[in-house]
Amino acid sequence: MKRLWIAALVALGLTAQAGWAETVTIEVKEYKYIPEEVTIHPGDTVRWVNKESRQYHSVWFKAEDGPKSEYFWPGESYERTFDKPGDYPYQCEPHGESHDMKGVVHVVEE
Amino acid sequence: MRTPSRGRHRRPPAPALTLLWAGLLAPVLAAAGAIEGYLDARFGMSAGQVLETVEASDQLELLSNQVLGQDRVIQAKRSRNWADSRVLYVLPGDRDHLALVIETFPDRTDAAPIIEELKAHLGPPMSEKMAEQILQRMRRGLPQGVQKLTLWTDRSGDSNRMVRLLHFEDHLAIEHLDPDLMAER
Repeated sequence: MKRLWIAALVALGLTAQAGWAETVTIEVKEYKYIPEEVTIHPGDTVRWVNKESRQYHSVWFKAEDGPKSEYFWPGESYERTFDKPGDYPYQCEPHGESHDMKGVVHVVEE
Repeated sequence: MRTPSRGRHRRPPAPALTLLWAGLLAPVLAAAGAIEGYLDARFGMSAGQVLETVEASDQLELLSNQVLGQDRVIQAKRSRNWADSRVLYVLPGDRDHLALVIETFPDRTDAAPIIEELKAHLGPPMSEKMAEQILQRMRRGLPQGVQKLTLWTDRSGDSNRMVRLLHFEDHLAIEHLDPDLMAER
């Protein structure tokens, strides 16, 4: 019985730890990331959702030579999970410079 | 143009034959320059009908069918040997009829093959000077960032429909538009 309790407590602890991860949504609209800056914790996920009526966009972590999404179209989205603390600037590949379409994800320890 | 071979003169067509030819050609001639939709989808079709045409097409791959904002938008992918494009069929508001089709060519700025393809169906576009004047007048009603406009209007004279090629800094987009159906939103 004692073993069962220990196993249950361990399982509960693991579940609770994993359960804290959150998903934050950023709207992509009118050539902007809304909000342009978000602060999250390690393990959290950011989801960019294209809310335009017709325009495609992307998310490109150019500064860190990091991941680059495919173009995502109205109604489509892109996700990235952040495991390490730090600042993660990003931009839209086709519109980063022409429309100054940029944003930052800040990942901080809890 | 073909010329009759020497020594073999064709007889002039009989009046009945002429009438038959005229009857057969009339719809073709009337259709030249008429703007009726995009591929097999026709303006005014319901979402269900548009979906049927997309699914039946061997040029299109259906991607989604969603309500975005106030409009129903059916998205498809089209592949040609010279470009891939995204096609958005827009049924505005809560009205179940197709009013706008937008075909976007990401990262493409060379309009020549697109213009040639449209000319084959619609004839020559409006003069560049006229299109520039129209662009200046209707800029507010166009998407952000349009740098140049190439325009075809309905030559059948039956409607205000138009096809407009929008030149952006980094891509091109064609709009097949029925303004009257759009205005009914």
